[in-house]
Amino acid sequence: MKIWNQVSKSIILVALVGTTGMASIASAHEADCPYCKLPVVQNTEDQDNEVVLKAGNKRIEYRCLYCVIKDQKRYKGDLVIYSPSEKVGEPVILKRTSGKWTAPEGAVFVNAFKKHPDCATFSRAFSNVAAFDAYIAKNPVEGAKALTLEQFLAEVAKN
Amino acid sequence: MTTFIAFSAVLLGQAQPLRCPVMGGPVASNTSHVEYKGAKIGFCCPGCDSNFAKTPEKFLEAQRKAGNTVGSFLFDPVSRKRIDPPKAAATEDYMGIRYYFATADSAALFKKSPAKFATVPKKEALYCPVRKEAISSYSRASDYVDFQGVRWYMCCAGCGDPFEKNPRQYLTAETLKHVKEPTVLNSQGPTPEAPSVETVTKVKFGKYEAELRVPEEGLFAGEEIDVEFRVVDTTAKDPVEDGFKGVGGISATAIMTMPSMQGMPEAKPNVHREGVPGDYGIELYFPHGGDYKIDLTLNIPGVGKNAISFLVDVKDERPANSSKPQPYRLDVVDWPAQATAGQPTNLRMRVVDVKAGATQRDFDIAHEKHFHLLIASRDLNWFIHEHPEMSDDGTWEIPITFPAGGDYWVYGDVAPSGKGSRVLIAKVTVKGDKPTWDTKLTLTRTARDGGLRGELSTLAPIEVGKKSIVEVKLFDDANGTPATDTVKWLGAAGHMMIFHQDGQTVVHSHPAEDAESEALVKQGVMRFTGRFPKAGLYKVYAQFDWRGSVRTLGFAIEVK
Repeated sequence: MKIWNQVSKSIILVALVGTTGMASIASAHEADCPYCKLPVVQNTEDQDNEVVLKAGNKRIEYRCLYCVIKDQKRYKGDLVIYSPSEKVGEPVILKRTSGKWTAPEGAVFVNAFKKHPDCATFSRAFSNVAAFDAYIAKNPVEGAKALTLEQFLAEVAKN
Repeated sequence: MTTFIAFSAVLLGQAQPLRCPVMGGPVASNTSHVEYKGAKIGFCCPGCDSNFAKTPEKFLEAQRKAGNTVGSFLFDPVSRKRIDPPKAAATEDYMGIRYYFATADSAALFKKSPAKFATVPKKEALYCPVRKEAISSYSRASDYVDFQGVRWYMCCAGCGDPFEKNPRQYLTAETLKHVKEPTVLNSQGPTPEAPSVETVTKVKFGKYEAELRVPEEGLFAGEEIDVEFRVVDTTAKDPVEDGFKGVGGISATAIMTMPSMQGMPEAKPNVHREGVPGDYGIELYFPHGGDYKIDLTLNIPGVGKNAISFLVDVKDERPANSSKPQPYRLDVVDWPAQATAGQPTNLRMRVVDVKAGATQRDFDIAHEKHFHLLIASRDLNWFIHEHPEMSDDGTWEIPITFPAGGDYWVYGDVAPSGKGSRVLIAKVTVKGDKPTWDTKLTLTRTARDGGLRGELSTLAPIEVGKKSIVEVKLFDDANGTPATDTVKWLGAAGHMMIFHQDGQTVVHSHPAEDAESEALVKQGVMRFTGRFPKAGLYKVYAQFDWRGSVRTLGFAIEVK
């Protein structure tokens, strides 16, 4: 049992109103990935891992880039995707405008997972090829290629 | 529904003013409003909203007969999508409700057969069947789909189409539990009552700005909530979001305290990055209402640490129509059906992490114990305070001899690790003779136990929902002299448990440990900070260690 370093304070006041039979209002990040149903990976030590889809004022979190692209048809209108990159807090931003996807210049993608538990690790975006090379050197996986956005979308479409 | 048609086409900007459904007068801009059956309804003065909520159909019908328009439908009734009135291409008033349309074509379609579009099914579900997400109000829904007499509100634009194509795929038994008769939803407009404490949700520091995104409906006690905050650089524009550029990659820590309740144990809520640069979340739990200070240390990449603070006001109780579940639950395990008064019964309990569906095993210590067990008879006139031990399987166990047959409240005052203190409630039933004690809550401010007499008073009249100072003066009942020789028990000079008559609201308080309070203790005066979240009768138990034994003094007071 963990014992918290309890601060020696003198007034504790606790009130609770009992609740029964109530509906849950889940925060988006608490939900599993809407596509693969696995937990969304968030806020790890050295890099961000959740993928955020912005559709109008709604934000939906996915486990990986593959999942969100696979699920994109559910959403009408223009979309923005924040895909974690090699830099914490600096995702690669993809945009779907009038049905056409665009990505920042130089951005490359990997889509080399075999099973969904690995999708967050091997379906990702990088701001440049060097970052991709460094990532794959650290996380080697068979068949990893630095894909352009068009190649990545085509890979997702055929799988 | 079509008997009293008050149909009038109006042009934008020339519509009749919206009327109060209760009094029929013009809607005032500075009063609250409610939502009902997908429409927003305003009032002429405070108080009309609560009257309306009692019998909404009666008031609507009266105003329809009078030809008044009293509400604004929040959706384009033809496309069924949420609409922002200023962006509407046309409006129509029909049956007391103003409808807004995204296009003139929609308005024309509506005019041809208004009942087709304006008729509201008898039942509704403010629950998105596709994403399995509760929706707190109509104004939070993106659109709706009617299916077999139920209006289903959707959480986002992507959910309506798949549901409409194959509704049965989404209608599980669990989902259908959310179907109900429409009710008046709580006020979403200006709060009639000003916040009781100062709040700070936006902080500027250097070229940066941080804003806490407090939910529109506010913050409520007894709920775990992930509150987002956004940090922006005010010298750069965001490439995607409106406004300034979000500052990503910040590592942050938080400490939460209560400024007006000195000595409240501080909490260290988790802070995490969200996927959108600049967005962060704090995982908060407020054990009760009041003012909370959230101190954040933001370590900005390349800049360093910055300390900022938010101040928030937390309400005691969420309106019943939009309550959230508790994150933890107290289960009584293997309670014997033959539990009988006068005989020791093994009380086994388990704290359950509701979301994980697992037994909670890690707890922080609060006042020298991991588990403060409070048991009270249903009438609250019998009470004990014990400390069970946890077994290897995560259950807590203690033998209890109940004094009489009947129902008993079982309160577990616990602090799941890193999540803050809270009181979880369960109930047990015991066979046996009826209580021999008075089962009515008789008001009394004098109590005695083991030769110790207590006189309870308040320094000022108690106000519902606000901090109150409750004082207990202790005397040696044998000679009437102040009892100045109490000693600390469980790390405090005294313990006060305040129970609302419904048994569902519990406040646990201790005297402060500052010099002033300690001086008062030496004079036999115990000063507690209490909070009475709602009106009614309260049973108050105060416990003190005096001359070798714990003395329990039971008072009863009324809060109006």
